[in-house]
Amino acid sequence: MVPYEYYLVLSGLLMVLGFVGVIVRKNIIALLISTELMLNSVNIAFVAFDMKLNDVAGQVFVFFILTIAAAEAAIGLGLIMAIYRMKKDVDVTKIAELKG
Amino acid sequence: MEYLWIIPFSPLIAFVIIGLFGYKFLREPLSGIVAVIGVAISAIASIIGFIDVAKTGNYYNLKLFNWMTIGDYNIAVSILWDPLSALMTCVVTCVSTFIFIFATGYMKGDESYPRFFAYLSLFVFMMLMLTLSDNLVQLFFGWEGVGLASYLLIGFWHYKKSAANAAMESFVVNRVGDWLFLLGILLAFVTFGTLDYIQIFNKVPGVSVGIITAIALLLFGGAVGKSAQIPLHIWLPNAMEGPTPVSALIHAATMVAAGVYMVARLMPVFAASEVALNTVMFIGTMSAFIAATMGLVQNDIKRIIAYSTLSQLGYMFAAEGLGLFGEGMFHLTSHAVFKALLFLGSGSVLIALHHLLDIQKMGQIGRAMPITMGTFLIGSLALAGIPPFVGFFSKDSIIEGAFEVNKFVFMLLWAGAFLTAFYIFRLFFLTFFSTDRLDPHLREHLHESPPNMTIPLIVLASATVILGFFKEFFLNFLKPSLEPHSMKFLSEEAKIFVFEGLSRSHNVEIEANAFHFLGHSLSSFLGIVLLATALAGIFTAYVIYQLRKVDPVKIGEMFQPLYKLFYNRWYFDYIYYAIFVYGYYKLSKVLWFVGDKIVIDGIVDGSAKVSIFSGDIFRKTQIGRISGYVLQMLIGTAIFLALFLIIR
Amino acid sequence: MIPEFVHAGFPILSALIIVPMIAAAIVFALNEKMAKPVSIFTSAVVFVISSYLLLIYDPSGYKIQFYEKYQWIPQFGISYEVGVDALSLTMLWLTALAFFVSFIWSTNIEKRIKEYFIAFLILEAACIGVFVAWDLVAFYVFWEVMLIPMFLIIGIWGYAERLYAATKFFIYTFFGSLFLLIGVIGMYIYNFYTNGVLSTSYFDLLNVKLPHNLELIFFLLLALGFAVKVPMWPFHTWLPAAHVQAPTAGSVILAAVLLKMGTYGFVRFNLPWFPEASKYFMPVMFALGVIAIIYTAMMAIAQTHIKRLIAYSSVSHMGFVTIGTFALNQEGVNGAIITMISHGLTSGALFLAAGFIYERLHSYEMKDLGGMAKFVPVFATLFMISAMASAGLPGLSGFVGEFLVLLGTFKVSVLTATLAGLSLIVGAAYTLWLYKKTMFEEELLSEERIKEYEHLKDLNKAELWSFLPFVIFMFVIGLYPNWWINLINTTSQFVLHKIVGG
Repeated sequence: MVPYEYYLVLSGLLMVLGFVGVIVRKNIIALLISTELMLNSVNIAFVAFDMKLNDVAGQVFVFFILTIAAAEAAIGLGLIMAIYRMKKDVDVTKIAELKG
Repeated sequence: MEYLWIIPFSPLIAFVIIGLFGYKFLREPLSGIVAVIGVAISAIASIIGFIDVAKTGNYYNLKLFNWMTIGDYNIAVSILWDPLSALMTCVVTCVSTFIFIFATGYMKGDESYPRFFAYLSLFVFMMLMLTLSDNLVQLFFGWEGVGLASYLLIGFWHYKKSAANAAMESFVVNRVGDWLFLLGILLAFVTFGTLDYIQIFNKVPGVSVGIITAIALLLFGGAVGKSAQIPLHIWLPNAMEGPTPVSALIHAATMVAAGVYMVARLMPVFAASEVALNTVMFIGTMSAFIAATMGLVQNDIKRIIAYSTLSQLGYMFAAEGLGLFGEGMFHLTSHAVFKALLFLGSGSVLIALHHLLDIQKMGQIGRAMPITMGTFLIGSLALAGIPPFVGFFSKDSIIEGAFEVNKFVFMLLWAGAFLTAFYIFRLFFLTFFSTDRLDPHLREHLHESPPNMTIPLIVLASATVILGFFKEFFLNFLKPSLEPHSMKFLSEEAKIFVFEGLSRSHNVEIEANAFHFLGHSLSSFLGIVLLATALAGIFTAYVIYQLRKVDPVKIGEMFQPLYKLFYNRWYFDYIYYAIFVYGYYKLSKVLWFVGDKIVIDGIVDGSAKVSIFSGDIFRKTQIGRISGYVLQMLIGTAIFLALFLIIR
Repeated sequence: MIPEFVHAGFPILSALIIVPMIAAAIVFALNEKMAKPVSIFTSAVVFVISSYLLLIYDPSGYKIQFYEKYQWIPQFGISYEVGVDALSLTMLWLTALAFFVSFIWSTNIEKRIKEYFIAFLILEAACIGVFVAWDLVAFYVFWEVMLIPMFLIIGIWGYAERLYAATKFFIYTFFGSLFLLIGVIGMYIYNFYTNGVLSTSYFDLLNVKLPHNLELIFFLLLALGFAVKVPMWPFHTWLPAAHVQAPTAGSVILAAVLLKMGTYGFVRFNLPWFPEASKYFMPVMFALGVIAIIYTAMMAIAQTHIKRLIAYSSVSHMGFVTIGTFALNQEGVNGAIITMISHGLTSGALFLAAGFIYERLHSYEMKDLGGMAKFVPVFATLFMISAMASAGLPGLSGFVGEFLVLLGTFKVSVLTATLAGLSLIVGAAYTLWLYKKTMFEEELLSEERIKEYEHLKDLNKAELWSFLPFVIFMFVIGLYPNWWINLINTTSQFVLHKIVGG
């Protein structure tokens, strides 16, 4: 059986990957994907601890997170579509309208 | 004696009337007439009061109203009417009356005619508050008030830059004296718990000599300022920017004598301190001599007389310092008369010459103006100390007194007497006789002055002739105020104390009777020397400036350094201006730039700038992009986690 | 010592605070033309009432008169408490007078006329509130409220650099107030810990027995708050800036009323609350006061801008108030209070004079001025009287205060009195310099200037009537100070009761 630490390492890597994506990418879609990546890294961590502690609460959390992630993706993509229609662009640096 | 309140308040009422209605209703000449009436009323009232005091030798102390209460002491507006104040008040009001009359002629046609008489009336009111006071605060009120009037009148023709400057200078220099004077008042109040003269006099014996000396010296500091003694004399010659009646009234006869009066008034305080008397004596002597040397070489007719005033005031102070208070006050009286006469005479000349001041450009105007010349001659002889004019009786007694007490003082005063005779007759010859150097245009219009100017001259000249013979009367009259054992308001203890304080003058014997004094002068060695000195001075001036036997320019070149020293007034003005005017101003400017603008505002505005600057730096972190914030968050999280790991 | 409280039958002091506020509301509702008459009428009513209070005030024995107290936030012991003693009352009267004069003067407002008068009316209410409040929270609220209209007055109706000056004024005084607030809260909390009472009432805090070190700290906190407002050297630089930029009426209020709050605070709070600390810091206060007197007098003569000159002269005079207050004796405190009144009158009048000159010649710079005296004689006379009162000529108001202050100081420290007395000289120098540079030396003017000058109008009615009250009261105080001293005697005794006993 794979030790739960391996899962945690994977989760951490995915989290860092997501962070780096959020920090360096300018395309909103890429940002959204990176966010999803981070959420999923958390999911992996939950499942790993669930396995380690023999508790189902972790799996319940995962389902909730998956639901929220789906909703978020739907709203986020909708917003991106709206922005794209207005600006013909999905680069975050170009749509900084509130920046003073 | 209730009517005495009229004396100060009649000029005040005139001032208010002229001040309110002068320009609209009274104009010329009514405002002048109102002023003359105002001062004449107080002159009459004061003469009546004078006669009363002369008859009875009493003193009256009226409290008019309570100005301020400090602790248990009431500072009251009040009148102390004793021989001393009666004499001074009479001098002020009588001389003022004639000068006012003269001024109605002198100021004729001036566009500010009402303003002039308003100021003059204000001056007389303030001067009378000063003379009549029975306490130091009211004295200070009058003291500053005459300073204000003097300021206003010196700056009367304020369109002239020189007049405005001279006015300001006089006020500020006077304020230096007033500063000391006020400190003297404070010290006196803290020491005695009262400021009424009579109470102070009676408390003097119980106070330590050091404190009395400090009080006396501080108060004398005020007198030095007001009476323009060295080292605070520089304002007086410049004060000649004012109209001539002002110079006559304020800067010769009355206000500048206030210092002398004050010292005499506070005689018991000064008598209690050896040091104070010596200071008065030496300051007076130095002023008498130095001012006379300054007067030698000036060319401005009014300034020469102004230096002479300085010098004569020095004689008065010297007399007081010698313990001869009666003689000092008599010289004050006589000086008021003959100096007012000289100034009015020069005013008459100025009117005839359209305000030409330089005596080198005058000459041979005596024939066209006989009355002016004659009266001026009388005044000059009095100043030079020739019998039987009043100056002889008053000045020579001081010099003779000095011979008995202090030889050094005597030498300087004696030398001063020679110089006095010389410079006044230099002025006299250059102005009225000598060669004709006058501008022909002026000569065409040369004329004698109208009666309202000549009559005061004649009256004052007559007074100059007569007054000397009343010397004995004056000295006896003043005894209840200045002779310790006759002073009714002193306690026995204080009488003895004051008498001992005046011990320096105890062996001075001066003939009180005028005829005896004259006889004594003509028979004793000292008297003859003094007379000869005065005559020598006159003769020298005659030889140099009338006969032109010796060229004055050559003499000047021969004694080049001395001439320069005298001509530049011993460099007092330059030094003072360099330090206290330009130096002070420059220092202020520098302090403003460095202290206020750079240091203090640097800190204040600097702190504001620091917050703006640091805000600008920290603002850079708020870039408005999520990725940036995520990175910051990440760094923060990492730091905290690291700390957690380390500290655990 | 808890004094007697004489309750008012009618809440007259509250009325004095509320009337200007109501007037402000009325002005807001009316049109522009009515703004000035309504304001003048209101301030006249306030002035008449406060003069009436001044006359019926009972100076025998220390009593807080026309007293009112209502609960405000009882949970925290905060109430609304107003009343007057002689110090409050004279300051209240001075405030009413200054506002009355300012409203009469304000004829040439060019923009936002309604707002101008509203700002002044609210300012008047706040200033009155500061002087009559006995509850510290109410006091502090009024103290801060007053800043806002003054900020607007300088910032909107001022001259070229008004924003800099307004901001500096606001932030600087606000900075000072914070220390005041800390000090007051500290007292409040300490009172709670020691006595278990929550109260912000002046008299409750008066009875707090502080340990020595704490007393020194609280003294410094309060003193810092007040020192900025006085302003004492070296916290004075906001004042010239504010004065130079403020409109004339604003300068009058600033000089006559706002500066008094600082010294009012010293007399009202620092002396009775911290008697030991007051003694302890006396030398420091003397030193700062003397520096203020001499140093700012030098600053004054270095100026070419006449309003800045007058502003510096204010600092110099306030130095006198400071040393008088901290002489800690009856004469000194009496003198300080009289000087406060007198300075309100003289500096108010001098700022009016500066405003007059500006309205005629459109400049405050000395190089553009001079030689006016002949063309505007009435103004020249009133200006001269004000200048002389400011220079401390006996017979006018300035001398009375100066004399008492110097006397009080002399008893404590001869050196301080000697140095402070120098203001007799330097004060005369800058005052006469100002007068000379604006009024005299006509011969230096060019021909064209003289022709211009011939069209100069002397004081018009509004200007004359704004000058006269000041000048009249300079004479009233100068010629009969006894009445005023009787009025404030018991108050200054109360102020000093912990220091000299009794």
